[in-house]
This record gives sequence, C-alpha cells and structure tokens, in this order.
Amino acid sequence: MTTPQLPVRSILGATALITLIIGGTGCATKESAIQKAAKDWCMTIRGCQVIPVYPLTEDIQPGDIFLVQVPIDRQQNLYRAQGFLALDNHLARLNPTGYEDFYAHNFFAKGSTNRLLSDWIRPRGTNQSWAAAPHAAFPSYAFTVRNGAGLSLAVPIQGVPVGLSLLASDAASGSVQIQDAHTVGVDTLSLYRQVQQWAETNRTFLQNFGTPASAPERNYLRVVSRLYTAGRLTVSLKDASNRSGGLDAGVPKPVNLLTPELPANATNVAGNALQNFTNAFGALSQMVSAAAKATDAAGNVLPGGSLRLAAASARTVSIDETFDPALSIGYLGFDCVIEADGGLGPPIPTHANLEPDYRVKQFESFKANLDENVDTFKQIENAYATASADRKSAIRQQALELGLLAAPVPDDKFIRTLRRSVDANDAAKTARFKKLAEFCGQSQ
Amino acid sequence: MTNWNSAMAQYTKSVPKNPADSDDTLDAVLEVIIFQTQDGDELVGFQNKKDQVVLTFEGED
Repeated sequence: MTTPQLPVRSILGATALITLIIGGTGCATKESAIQKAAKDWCMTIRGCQVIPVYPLTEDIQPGDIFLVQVPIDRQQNLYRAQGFLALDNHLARLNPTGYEDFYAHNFFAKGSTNRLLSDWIRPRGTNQSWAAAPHAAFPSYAFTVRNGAGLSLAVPIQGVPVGLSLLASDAASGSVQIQDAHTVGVDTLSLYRQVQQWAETNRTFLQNFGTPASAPERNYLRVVSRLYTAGRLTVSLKDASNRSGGLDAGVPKPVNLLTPELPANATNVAGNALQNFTNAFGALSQMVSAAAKATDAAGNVLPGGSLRLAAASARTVSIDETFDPALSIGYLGFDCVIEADGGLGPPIPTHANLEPDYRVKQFESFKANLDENVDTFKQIENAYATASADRKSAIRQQALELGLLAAPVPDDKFIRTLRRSVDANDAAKTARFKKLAEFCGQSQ
Repeated sequence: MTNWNSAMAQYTKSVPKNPADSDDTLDAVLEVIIFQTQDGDELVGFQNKKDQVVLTFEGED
C-alpha cells in the first residue's frame, strides 16, 4: 500500500497561506485591541458628559475651530463605534476675550492681573501648572488587560505596560484614577460672537464649505468652549494571571524583591523586614524611572509623563504618572452649520448633536413652540381686529420694532404678512411674538 | 427657519421630523399647513428630507 503524498508545491502553498492568515489575523487583532482600549478609555470620559480627546494632548484650547465634514447621523455612528471624534481639520485658534468677565468674580484674586490661558497653563514664578484653574473630578476607570500586541499604544498612559512588566504578568485587572483635574471654559455667547466676526472675515473661505438648507449633508464648524485637563494619573494593577501553590515558573518577577527571605537567626526581625522592604522599594522605583526614560531607536525620549512608583506588593503595583503641564482629556463645545453664503447658523451644543435622541427633543421643542405660536397669534389677530385705526398703527409699529416685519405694511396686509413670520424653530421669534401679544393686550 | 423671496411672495417653513413617531411629524406638518394657508396663501412645494419636511408657500405680495 502506498501512502498518498501531497505535492511539495501544495504544502508550501498551504504553509504560505496559513502564515498569511495568521499574520493577517494578528494585525487585525492588534488593531481591534487598540480600538477597544481607546473606546474603553473614551467611554469613561464620556460617562462624565465630556467629549474625549484621544490621544491626550496639550495642544487644544477653548477657541479652537475645527471643520466637520461628516453628517451628524454619521458622526453619531462614529462616536458610538470609536468612542471619540477625530479633530483633524483644525481651521483656526481664537483667543477668547470673555475669560476675564467669566472668571473675574470668583477665581481671580483682588487686584491681580490674569492673562488666560497662559497664566494658568504656565504661571510665572511658579511651576504649579493649572493650580489656579477651577478643579474638576472624574471617577476611576477600571479595566482588565492582557500583555500583548498594541497595549502600550492603546492605553494613553505609560503606567500600565510598566506596571505589567513589574508584575511580570500577562494579565491584570486594575484601575486608573484621573487626578489633579482642572477645567477652563468661556461662555458660549461671547465666544459665538467672536466666531461670527472670524467667520465674517473668512467668509470667502467658508463659502467653499457652505451648503443650502435643503442639502442632504451639511458642513459644520466645531468650536471648543471648555477644556478638561489631567495633571496626574494613578494606575493600580493587580496580577490576574493564574498560578497555583505559589510556584512561579521562569524568570522571577521584579515585585518578588518585596518578599525577600530574612537572614537565618536574625534577632531584629521587624527591623530587617522594614529595611529589606525599603531597599526593594527603592530598587523598583529606579526600574520605574528607567522605564520612563525609554528612548526610541533614534535616541529620542518617548512621549508620556514622568513615572513614580506609588505602592507595591507581591501581587499589586501602583504607579503615578505625572503630566507637566497637564494634558487635555476632554472638551465641550458647540457646532455651527455653514450656510451657502458662508454665514454661520446658531450654536448647537456638540454633545446634543451627538446624542441620537436630540432630534426627538428638537421636535418636541418645535411642537411646543408651534402650539404656543398659534395661540399667541390668535390673541394678536383678535386684538388687531377690534382695535381702532390708531391702535392698529401702534401694533404694526411695535411688530416692526420687534423685527417681526421686514418693512412697514398697510392695514389690510398686516395679519397675512405677520402670519408668514411665525417660525416655531426660532425660540427668539416665539418670545418676540409673545411680547407683541402682551402689547396688544395692554390698554390703549 | 423661514426663507423669503419677496418678489414672488414665496417662503418656506421647515418642520423637524420626530424619528420616534412619524404620526407626530405628520400632525405637525398639517398644523403648519393649516396655519399658514388661513389668509389665502397656498402650499406649492413639499420636500420630504431625511430629518425635516420643507414646505413652500406662495401668496399675494
């Protein structure tokens, strides 16, 4: 009996195919691991009603203007899928002039002169970056992690991979505490005014991205109005790998330094134990410092904050990572649609745009305004019908002054023209109609 | 949002859609049509968009 033999070429081909498949899967796994970690991180920030910045950066400020060419519903999908929004089309950086009025009441010392943001980011005469800014607090971020492809890239902090290497573990559960968090912002009203002035100056440029109201996809300007920063992240890791009977195979892990054997026949056991722990902790701290000074192939220091060992035991490691100056972890802002003529629409909070139920709320608001507008208009119509000629003239004049009429109109055209002006999408106009109804209700 | 064309006495009204309830949207559209046509203006255009309905009215200037 002869054993069937596969052709050599087929075996080579199959091997190459398997290699390709394994290689391809590895890449996909690495990419998806990075995306998952990025999303987990961002979901924590989002849980605090803040739009995440990923990766963390110092180079984003209130007054930054980004061009958004992704439709709102597509943005909602991306936001759900990735957890963050790419800020890649940076058009301009305004220096908000409203800081002083916004913070002068309670945050500036009497008689002090503050030049924001520079006096808060890099205060003169002190190295306490952001210390004068209003504080903020975030909940801790719990995670489980396995040592593997992409980890150091996916988690935006160095402490996690360094901690894993100290534990010599391939799996750990842990938490990240966002500390020394601060916030700075400026009111939408003053910033929107500045953005409008900027848009007027750059109208020709914005016309390239302007679309009519009827266009299916519209472009927006996204303006950052508030920033959240973190000066320190504390990473706590607990070894989650499976071991039994206290037997570890392979190279001893660094944290084993913390449980050295005491010398035999030692008399001062407590003193020796304390001294051993202190020595070992010092050795570990040096390892952490060395890890933070890691350089790439070209000898450049790798990005990230400075690391300091905060606590350690045989199964846990806690590391402080400090960013000086602090890095932005999230922001709030508003979006303005770019009209066909290069003008800007009203400011809509970015957060509202990203929430799927925003459209439901928008409709409910429209419906409530519509009902109110119809009632108010009936009051005006009834009052106008029974008014004297002089009173009618006064009502028309009042409507003109309130901006409900574009130009003076005669008596017989007033109601028809005024009706065309009713707009339930415009809350300001709804309020002006109410003022006119109140005027109509006043005694002559 | 209202867009005016004074020469033609033509203007538009947009009604946002309720993504959760199309009947609600229809009611709102009908309410706007009834309100705007009470003085003789006519509905001359209807655009059903993804997130809003745009109604065009025309009347004597």
